[in-house]
Amino acid sequence: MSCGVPGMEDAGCIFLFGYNPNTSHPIVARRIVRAKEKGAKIIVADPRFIETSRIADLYLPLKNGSNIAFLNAFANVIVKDGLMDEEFVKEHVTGFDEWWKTIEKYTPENTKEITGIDPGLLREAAHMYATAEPSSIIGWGMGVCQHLQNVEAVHTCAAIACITHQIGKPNSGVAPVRGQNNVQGACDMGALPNFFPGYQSVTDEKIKEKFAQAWHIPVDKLSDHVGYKVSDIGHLIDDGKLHAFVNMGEDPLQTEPDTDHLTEQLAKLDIFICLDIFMTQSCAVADVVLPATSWGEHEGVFTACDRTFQYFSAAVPPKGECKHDWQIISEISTRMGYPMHYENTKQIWDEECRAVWPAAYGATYEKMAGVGYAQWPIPTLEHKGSPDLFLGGKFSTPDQKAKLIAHDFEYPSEMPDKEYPLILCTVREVGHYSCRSMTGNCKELSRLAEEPGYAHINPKDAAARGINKEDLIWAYSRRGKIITRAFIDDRVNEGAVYMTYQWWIGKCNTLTLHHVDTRSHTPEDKFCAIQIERIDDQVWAEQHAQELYMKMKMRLSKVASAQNEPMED
Amino acid sequence: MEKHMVVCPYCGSGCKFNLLVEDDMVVGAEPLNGLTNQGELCLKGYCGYDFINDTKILTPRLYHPMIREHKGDPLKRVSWDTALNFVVDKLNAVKEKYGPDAIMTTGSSRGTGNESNLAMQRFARACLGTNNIDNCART
Amino acid sequence: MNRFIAIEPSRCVACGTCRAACSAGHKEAGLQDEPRLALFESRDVVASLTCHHCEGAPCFKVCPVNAIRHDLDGCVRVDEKKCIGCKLCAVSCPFGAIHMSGTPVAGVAGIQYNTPTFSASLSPILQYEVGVYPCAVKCDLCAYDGCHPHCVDACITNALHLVEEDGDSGTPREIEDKRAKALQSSVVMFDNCNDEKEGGERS
Repeated sequence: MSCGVPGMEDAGCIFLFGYNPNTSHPIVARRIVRAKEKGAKIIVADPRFIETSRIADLYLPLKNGSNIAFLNAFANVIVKDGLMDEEFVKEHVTGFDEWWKTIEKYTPENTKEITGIDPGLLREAAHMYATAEPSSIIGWGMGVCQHLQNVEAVHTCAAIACITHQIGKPNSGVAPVRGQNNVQGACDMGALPNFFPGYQSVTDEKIKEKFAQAWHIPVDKLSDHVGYKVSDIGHLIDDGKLHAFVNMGEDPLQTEPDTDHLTEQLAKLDIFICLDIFMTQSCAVADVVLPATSWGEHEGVFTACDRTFQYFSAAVPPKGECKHDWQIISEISTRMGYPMHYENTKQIWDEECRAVWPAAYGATYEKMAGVGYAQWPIPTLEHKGSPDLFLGGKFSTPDQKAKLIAHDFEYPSEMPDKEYPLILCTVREVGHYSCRSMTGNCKELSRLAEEPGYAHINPKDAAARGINKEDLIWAYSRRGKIITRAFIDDRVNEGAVYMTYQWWIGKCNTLTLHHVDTRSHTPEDKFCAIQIERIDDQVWAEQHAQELYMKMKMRLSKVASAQNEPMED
Repeated sequence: MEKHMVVCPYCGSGCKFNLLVEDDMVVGAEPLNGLTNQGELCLKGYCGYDFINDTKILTPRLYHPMIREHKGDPLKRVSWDTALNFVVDKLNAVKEKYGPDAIMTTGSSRGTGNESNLAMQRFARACLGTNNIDNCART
Repeated sequence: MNRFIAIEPSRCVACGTCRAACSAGHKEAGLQDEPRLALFESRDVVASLTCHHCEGAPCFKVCPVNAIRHDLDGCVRVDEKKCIGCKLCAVSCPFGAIHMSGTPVAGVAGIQYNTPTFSASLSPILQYEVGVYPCAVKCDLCAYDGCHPHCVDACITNALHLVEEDGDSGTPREIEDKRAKALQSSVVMFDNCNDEKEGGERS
């Protein structure tokens, strides 16, 4: 995010594009309610009438999968209606002419067929966003990122912020609010195939020198090319390129698309190692399961979505023989002939992060004590941290100028047809998190929402299939078939079905398409074609769902029970 | 009752609260006046702590290392020593036969924290010699 | 005058924290953990709805075993120990604020998992599950242990407030100011209410 979460309530306009804060981040939704009460204009563009639409000044019901056409037309209006900040563009932006060649082609009128948006409404929204005082924020979520044209949409959102000068000043800019608690942190810390910690390129020779020195290895030991992305593991195994997988704290068999196929692919690995706290579906098929301490049993630092480092302490001692993830990794490394040893997390933080990433140097454990925090960039010990990025229009490019990039619209990979006439879009459950291994084990949270979860369906689509509210239904695609429950919801657009990806029986990732975009290799989880069907015998279906769920729990529990057996060696 | 300050592990908002602990069991959550949450917590923050106590509502916690010696065998409990040596032998074999890029590793964008990610990426890059490290930012 | 929990729908973000707080608070007190608030969602309105604690409460009148009390402080409460699960109160409630809940028996007496015998689209009043003894559940303003209603304290946007004769009334801003003052001394959710009685410290 280029602004901080607290600052959102002081913006003049918040434009939510493919982001439903009410289920993803209720605490951010709270800021939006407060912003509205302070007089901010709220614009929502989403195929679904999401919760924030209720308090929005403008709601734009765009069609699923039409992001780029919409954003291009939005940008087009800004330029044509003279809403551009020409001075800012001249001083701080490059590539406008080239960018305009593409954007010029997309008008509200000629994209109406694709987006379903009334041109007048689109113009009104563009005016509201561009002219808001003192600043506007575009917030987006997976509704941008889990589409085929995801990076393209991010480029265009950023371009819109740049040409209107709604970035580079306090409480403005782009707010891609990160979903998982520490996804910003994992990226910051270099758990990315193309970056060392602090977004320092793995192919830059100078940077490589620095890290080789810090890690006491010759520079030629470091790989000279970008690595693989986790969403590609299935294909890479099929192609014989990948033979071992060290998986720390993730459950790809729940969270990655087309899970049935992925299960077969993982079985072909020479070795599949899981470091986890729970017996997840992925651990159950692993060759090695290493027990790690959970949150609450270890300390460390998380990075919040707005780049805020915060320290968290350990509340209870480790259970059983659990070790901290970093201890396990260090021990493996040491046994492989590359000694790694740390006394505690503070040592790792100081040596592996602060010492090698200049923008984080000022983020000491001392600053983060209590309710303290450190928001990067924070280059010196005296620095107070940076809630806002790019102040004064100084961007993080070599020439400090923003480079505009435009893209043409493409349709999603799998369009609905006669056999699979509905669009499946995967979304989040407010009371559950990620693969649900943590929240599914919490009493209250599992009390409030349980298997098989819901498929939200427009009343017309439900009526056409004889589906009543709360009925159990089959949902199927070219990849698989699952049981789920109908939620008849007039906030859902006709022709689309929304399912939350937290459920293990009503697992929507059995249906999703494993098609990734070429740049970021993010799966197209927001768009695939499915069909739904009422189950005639509802009582049987209710019992069947319970039985499936219990069988799955028994299977995992049986696999886990091996750890209670006495050791042979 | 002890109180331990934590950051919520459930979304990118970064809410701060105390975990309330009695006899090494987490029994409650109490919001703190953190930067983003200002003394508020959503339902996941309030009620999302008891998995630590191994409630076994959905699936059990892991307490001991386990390995599957040959494909198709069931998992069996082993000592840390055996498990780590098994991992090392297998990873060395793959590295020797197919090169370091045949090994994929992940960091984690969940409860483990920044430090484990730092350790994992150093392990992948400096020990294995590959940039094959990623996290679930894409899902 | 009666007391009840009111909501400002424009502030509600439908996060369900109130329901979680309600469930947790009642469970802590050994009562049914079914949330007493329902999240009503239509296209234009979202609101957590719960018992109105009517002055002439029909549920109080119809209960054949006097399990429902109408306290002098305006609160209508069910005594779960006395309730026989006849559902008359649920049928008579004009707002649908009473429903049935029971403790599932999965895991005991050879029953491995829940055995629903109904379609979930059936009216909740007609649903039953083998072996589950139902009990009427409704909002009791958390009066069981003298706490301020847990849902009101937990609401992240201050959309919920307790309406009392001499209590929270006025504009949302005034109520918020009052609440902020009250919060300094009031109970934080999950912080055991007994602490205060024993002079325990709270933050």
